[in-house]
Amino acid sequence: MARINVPPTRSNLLRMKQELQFAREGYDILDRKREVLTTELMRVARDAEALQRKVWDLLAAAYQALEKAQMTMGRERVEWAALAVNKTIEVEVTYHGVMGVPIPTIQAHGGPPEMPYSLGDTTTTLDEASAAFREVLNRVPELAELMVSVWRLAGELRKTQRRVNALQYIFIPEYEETVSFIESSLDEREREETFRLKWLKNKLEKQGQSAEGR
Amino acid sequence: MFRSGVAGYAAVHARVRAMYSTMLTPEMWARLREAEDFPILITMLKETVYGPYLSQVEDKDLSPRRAVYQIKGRLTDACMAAISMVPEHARPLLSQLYRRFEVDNLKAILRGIVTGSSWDQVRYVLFPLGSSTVLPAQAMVEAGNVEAAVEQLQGTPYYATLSHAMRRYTAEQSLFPLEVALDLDYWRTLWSRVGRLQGQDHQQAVRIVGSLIDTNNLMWAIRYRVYHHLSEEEIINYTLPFGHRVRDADIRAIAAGADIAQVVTGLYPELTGVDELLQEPRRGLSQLELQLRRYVAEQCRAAFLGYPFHVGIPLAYIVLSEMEIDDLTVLIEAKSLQRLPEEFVPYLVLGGGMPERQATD
Repeated sequence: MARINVPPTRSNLLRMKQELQFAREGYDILDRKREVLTTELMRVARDAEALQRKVWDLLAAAYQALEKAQMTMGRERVEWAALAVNKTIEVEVTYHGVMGVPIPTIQAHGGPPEMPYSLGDTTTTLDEASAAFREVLNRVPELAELMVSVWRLAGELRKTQRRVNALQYIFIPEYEETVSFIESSLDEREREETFRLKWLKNKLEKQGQSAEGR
Repeated sequence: MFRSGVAGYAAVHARVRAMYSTMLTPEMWARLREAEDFPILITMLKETVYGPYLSQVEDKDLSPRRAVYQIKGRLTDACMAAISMVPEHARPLLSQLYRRFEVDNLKAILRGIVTGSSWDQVRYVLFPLGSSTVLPAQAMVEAGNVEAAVEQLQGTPYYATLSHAMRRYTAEQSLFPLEVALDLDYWRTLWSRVGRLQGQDHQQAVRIVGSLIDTNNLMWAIRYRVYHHLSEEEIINYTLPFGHRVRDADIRAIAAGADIAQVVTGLYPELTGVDELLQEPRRGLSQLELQLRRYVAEQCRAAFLGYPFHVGIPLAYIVLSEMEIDDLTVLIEAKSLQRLPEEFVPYLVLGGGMPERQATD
């Protein structure tokens, strides 16, 4: 196991212990953040998935209706009827935070006019396509809000997970290893010191005895 | 003094009959329906009366869009021929009938202006009216804004209608008031032209133009209510208070929320399965629209039966020619989208395999 390359001194031991404590606290906080993000992501992702499926279904129906309109009216007349729609929805984006992640809230205003084209040169199939796309358009802001939330939460979760993993598998074991190394080094040094003192004491005692004998 | 009856229509009858005989036969329709793809369909069409129109463009440039544009040229020719050969008193009616393509062109021009399209973008979506149009199309597109474009229409039949509707356009910045004003004015004028005819001409015109107006008016009222959720007052304002079978009271009933199937069945007892079709109105309306168009086609074919010296013959021929081109548009689009026959045949009015020539037998 890797350890931090610091001299095994008491001051470094204190510093390493403080940093280990700090890393453990950071780990606890990030682990809680990960849990909150996971719960929030699962909730938003479930809603987003359900809405996305609905929008895909609506889009499939809308494109089918558009194809039918194109087939019965000719693509040119459909395109030119569509040109009469010169207004669309406008969106306003505001943000709120979830564990520091800016989550958008998208509010849609306005929309295409209720009667974009006159009925004289169009058929029912175009009305069907127009109604289907209007329904899709009404759902798009909500889907965009959920999808962006999912992406942002997932991105933040990935970052948090990386940090948690780094703390759990790299930094905390490194600090633990370093603390353990410094402690064992200091113990070893202490034992050596004790032995040296004992040896010195014995030597001094022996010198004292031989002096008395003379 | 009108030259009506046998004297006025003998030559018209013979010439229109000759032109009518060049329309696509049931056998040809069957072959076209079975064409494997778009290029084969075009090859087959080149063997018909549409050949000269399609041959004006090189094969490599003949996209579905361009093919539809080219075959419309035949309708222009058919209309111009019919208008030129009818007696003087019937000409305003046919000219007004033909003017619908001009109204559609005018709407396309206005849409082009609103979306900032160039003349080159607009020109190929316009119905090819040739020199017969009164619209200064290029000048209007180049005018750059709707107000200036409408001013260019001074001296045409559209100026008064559009300048009256401009106030709402200015307030709402939507083309709808202009477009609906054009549509309503067109059909009012057409109906008034029918009213000026007499005898057999009047009867035949009422039957054909009346059934066209009925179909449009009825479908407009239903579409406004079902798809666009307009109020009762708006529906009444945007529809016509007259018709052949469909009367103001029927439109008002639909606008007021009456059962659509009941109103339609009351008006057209010969239509089958209306109740089932309209159980889910949004699904069944396109089929109802087709049934009504087939009914108009039957009225047109009936004009070729019995006493033949009247305006009904050229009138019916123009309407049927337009339906034929609409059906060819369906075929061209369906083949280019590689659709199976069962997917597009229900949308064919004349070419769907029903006995279309029975009226002349």
